[in-house]
Amino acid sequence: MEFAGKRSGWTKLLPYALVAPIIIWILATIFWPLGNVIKESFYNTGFVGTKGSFVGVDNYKTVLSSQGYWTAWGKSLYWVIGNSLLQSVLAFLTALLLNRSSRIAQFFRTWMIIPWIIPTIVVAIFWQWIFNGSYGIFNHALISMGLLDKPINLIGDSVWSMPILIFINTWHWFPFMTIIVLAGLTIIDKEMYEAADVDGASKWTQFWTITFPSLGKIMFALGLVGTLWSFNVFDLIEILTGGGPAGATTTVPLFVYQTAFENFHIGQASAASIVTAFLLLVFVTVFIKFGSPKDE
Amino acid sequence: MKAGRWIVGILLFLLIVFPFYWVISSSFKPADQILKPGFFPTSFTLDHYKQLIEQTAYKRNLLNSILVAAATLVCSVAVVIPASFAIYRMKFVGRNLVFRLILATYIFPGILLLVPVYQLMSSLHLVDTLWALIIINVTFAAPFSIWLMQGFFDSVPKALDEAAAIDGAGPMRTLGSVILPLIGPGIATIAIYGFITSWTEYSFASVLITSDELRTLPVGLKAIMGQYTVRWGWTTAGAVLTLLPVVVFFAFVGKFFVRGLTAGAVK
Repeated sequence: MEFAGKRSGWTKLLPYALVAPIIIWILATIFWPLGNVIKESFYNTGFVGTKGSFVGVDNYKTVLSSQGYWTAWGKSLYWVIGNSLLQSVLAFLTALLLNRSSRIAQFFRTWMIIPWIIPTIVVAIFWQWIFNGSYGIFNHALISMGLLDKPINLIGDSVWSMPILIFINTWHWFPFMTIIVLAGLTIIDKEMYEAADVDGASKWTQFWTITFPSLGKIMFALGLVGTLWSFNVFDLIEILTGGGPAGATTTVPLFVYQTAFENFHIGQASAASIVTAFLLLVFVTVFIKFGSPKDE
Repeated sequence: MKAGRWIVGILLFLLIVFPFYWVISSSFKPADQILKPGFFPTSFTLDHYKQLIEQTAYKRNLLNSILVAAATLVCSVAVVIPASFAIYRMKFVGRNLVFRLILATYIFPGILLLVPVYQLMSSLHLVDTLWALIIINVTFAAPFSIWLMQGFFDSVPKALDEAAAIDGAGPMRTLGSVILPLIGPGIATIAIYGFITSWTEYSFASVLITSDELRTLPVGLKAIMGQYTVRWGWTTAGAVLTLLPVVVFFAFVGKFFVRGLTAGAVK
């Protein structure tokens, strides 16, 4: 009996022992640094690795009144909305095309995700080579079709850089969105449609009573996670334009990075991070409150 | 209607495939032709690949990338499997909290952590070591891997656990001899996800590594490209060699990977 008692005590602790490594890992590499950002946001630390002195809320005042920060938010909104729209269109088109059980559809379902799994640097090289201002095939094609008289460097153009970057990032990410939409489409039980057929419901009614409500949950998750993931994109923009030309593609992550590692204002960068995280939290709360699909 | 499907399908196909075709074919064009926009290559050379391997830091970068990716893969599987087992198969107080905490991390803006993670690594004297990259890559790979594992754990009937328990097997025995053999594809999936996350990572690698000989491929490739005059022969060849391992891996586990994503997504 005592043995059994010991054993059940151990069994009770076991799940905690099993989740401990990942929890410790996450706490140490995300939450502890996060605490550090909060601390640094009240110090006037300059270079990474130096110690600053306490300045109260000065950094917050500087950031909130800085035009650069709010301009970056404007760029970020442009970026997030552009990506969401373009990715949704491409993801739905692809998912609807591949939502069948033929062998070709199964094959493409697996392989169309390739743009998502290749390194960002490779994605950047692909499109930089295609859109290159001097030797790019894109310019060449437009010129030979008579749509353009001289080559333009789209990625380095103050007007075009943002839409082109949105396009490139969409190319990188829409396959992932497609998988999620496909998941939503395939989970819809075929028997529900059969039952609806038996009941005499029209295809139109079936779409609104079965397909649409079933996708609601997926669309909600996609809207939430997709928006945050788009917002967070840093490497692609940094590699392709570094935020330029003249700040045309400086989204919030780029702004934070430049403040910290190019202008050496760790304190201000930390304050900007906190303000950003807070605004994202507000977005998430509002999104969950008003966007969350009603339980069927 | 049917023709419409085909047209949209072909356009989407070209959209995905063309960049691959263009960069791969460019990488085999001789130096005097690569800058000319010939759609079909007329001659073939391996010069760019040879030069890339002999004259640049490519080999060194490749080795670093492999080391970091392999370690990330191992660590990530080692923390994810036990945690998933607890989360998906056991009842315990705080289970939901743990699950939410893990979910919260993969929507958290990683880039906002660039500065404090640098400070953290610097206080641990890990800046400019590959360990720093391994640690942070596991942080980014593990939460999503837990999500991926859900579908695989669900595919093993709980009745098997119960049968094992009746036979007197403890939870760890059940995991080791009943569940693990059945979720092989799941383990492969998260292993590959860990590998790819690490293979692709650029932002932290560019900040946490300061010396040239410790650069991983993405950062090294950026350096090989150069800032102002890009050597397109090297760059395209480097891009091809960088994406190759990912594609080869994917050829083996792609099916499971997509299945895992799909299963996790609908929960």
